[in-house]
Amino acid sequence: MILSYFLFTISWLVAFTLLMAAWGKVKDLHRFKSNLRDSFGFSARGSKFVAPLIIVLEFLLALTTVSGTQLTYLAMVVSFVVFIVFTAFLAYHWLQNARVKCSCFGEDDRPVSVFDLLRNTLIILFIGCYLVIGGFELSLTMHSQFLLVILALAGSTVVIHTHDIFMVLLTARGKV
Amino acid sequence: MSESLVLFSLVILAGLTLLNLHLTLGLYKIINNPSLNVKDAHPVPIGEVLPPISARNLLGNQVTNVATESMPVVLLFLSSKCPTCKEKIPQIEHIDSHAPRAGVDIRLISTESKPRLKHFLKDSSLLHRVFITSRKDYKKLNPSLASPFYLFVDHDRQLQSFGTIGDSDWQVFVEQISSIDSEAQA
Repeated sequence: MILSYFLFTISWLVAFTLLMAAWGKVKDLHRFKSNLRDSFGFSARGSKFVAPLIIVLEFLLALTTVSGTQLTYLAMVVSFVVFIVFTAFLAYHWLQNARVKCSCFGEDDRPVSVFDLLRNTLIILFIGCYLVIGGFELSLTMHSQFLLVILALAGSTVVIHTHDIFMVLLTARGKV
Repeated sequence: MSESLVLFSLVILAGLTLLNLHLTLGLYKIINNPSLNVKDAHPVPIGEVLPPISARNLLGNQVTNVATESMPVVLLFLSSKCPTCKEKIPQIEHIDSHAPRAGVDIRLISTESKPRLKHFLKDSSLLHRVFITSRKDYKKLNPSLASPFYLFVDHDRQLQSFGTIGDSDWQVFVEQISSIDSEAQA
């Protein structure tokens, strides 16, 4: 039973993460477009086309993931692939010059850090767990679902702020 | 509500509460420790002598003190991870080319690896101005790890000014260098 709680929480955690990623980009679309140009080599025209496409994809994946239909598993598969491709892309650029900016969640104008890559790896692991052990029908009461959604929301804020959390902890220890 | 759900929720909530507590204590420590507080962190007080900081240039030659006693020196702190620092390079190159005439030495202090610095300062004349030091010594000069950051140090190794590259003191310095350049051209 605990396994089904875990899988349900993961699906909502991924959905919230995708939703906040899309919302963060919408909030500062101009910065997201300029990061696509400056950090990933898109042309001005290309960034105008790709930016809304990424945002719509994240919104759609978030909604499908929690739809509770047969599409949920498919959405998780797509999210898994998207996160792997994007993380590999980020890691490659990060290793090349360490100045790539992402604005993944509309955060401050800072370059991608190793903690951002760690966060993405964590999300990939979560989705991987879901895909390996999930895929079956979850029968949870409304009350149980509500509680798990709230837990997923709390967890997603931790996942999204991985970089900031590590920075606070390292600064407090005088390591930054 | 089943017992297993309560247990599952409690485990997650306990984890989140512990993390929250840990972060709160960390923030409390940062706020109450001036050397950890980025906003309050500063190098030695103005007029005081900088501590001796040893460093190596990119050729591997060691200097016992990055602030020389022979002439005033401008210590610069740039990071390859800071996009603004990259934008400042052309201006610093211009200053560097006129610095000897002004009787000032320019030195870039860093803790980054040689390959990263070479990539960051690719094709820049500033490469031979780089001095790599330990993180501990770096923090003695730039406790807040700010970048792009500068220290103006006189020939007695006393700190004259410090701040962010581009601030008012920096602008005055750039104007002085530019006027020397204009005089030379005249």
